[in-house]
Amino acid sequence: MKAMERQSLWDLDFARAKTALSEIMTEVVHGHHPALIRRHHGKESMLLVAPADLEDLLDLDGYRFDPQVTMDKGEVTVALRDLGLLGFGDSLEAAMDDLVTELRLYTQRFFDRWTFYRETDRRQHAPLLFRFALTPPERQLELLYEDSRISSQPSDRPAAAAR
Amino acid sequence: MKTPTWGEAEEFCRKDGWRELRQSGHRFFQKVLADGSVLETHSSFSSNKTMSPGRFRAILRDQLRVTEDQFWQVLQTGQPAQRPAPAPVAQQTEHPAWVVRVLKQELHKTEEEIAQLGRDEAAQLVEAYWSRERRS
Repeated sequence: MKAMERQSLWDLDFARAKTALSEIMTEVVHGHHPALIRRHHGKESMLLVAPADLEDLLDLDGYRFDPQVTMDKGEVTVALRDLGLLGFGDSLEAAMDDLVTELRLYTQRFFDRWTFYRETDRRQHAPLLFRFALTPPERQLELLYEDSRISSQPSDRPAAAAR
Repeated sequence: MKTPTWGEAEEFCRKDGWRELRQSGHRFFQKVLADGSVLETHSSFSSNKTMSPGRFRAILRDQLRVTEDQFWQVLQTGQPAQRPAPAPVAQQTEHPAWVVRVLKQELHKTEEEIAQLGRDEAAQLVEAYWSRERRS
């Protein structure tokens, strides 16, 4: 990899990247070096970056979920108002599980149809959904509870949540 | 408060000009407003089942973005609602999810008991519990 030129970002030609993908991944993941792969004389490019590095680079921890619960006549409803999502159940646990399912479906839909959503007011949902997508599935429910606690504490961070 | 069945909520979407989408066995409705903002809601399989006033208000406020009157008017006239609409006033107290979990799992309150608590009252109960735990 030393023969490859390093500019402002680690810049690689597609043909060279193809033959050295394993080494590049090691450098991106363990060396924490984002890599920019280009083809067609730089007309097309893509960025390789480790998920944890992306969270730090984009300060995704600054975006928090704020699930709010209402209980009425045996029904529990959990709202993520910033995202327009609702989870339904007859207990907190059931409603939170339903909310996680809704959030997974929305995240999948959002990134599958990014070219549509990026032109709408929902573009601002991207950091929050990215953060959710980068969280392992078995940790996603706990992420909502942790964020709930942090969101309800007084914060000295400006514009902490996506609005 | 009169509340709709899930079937009526779906009927509202059709009359209000929402588009039906399918994803992984789930059905969603989506509407793009004139200002470019996007509304989404999902349908339920149990179309004859009704919902509580609290849930109906949450759907009106967070997903359909119409008032209760507008909702029934759309069903009656078949004409799409005018937006923006004033947000429905919340009648039920909202609690952060983590507060409800502590009240249930640590303080063994039922959902019915939690529903009777004010927001500050619930937070104070949790704070008092943690203060006791820290001391012991």
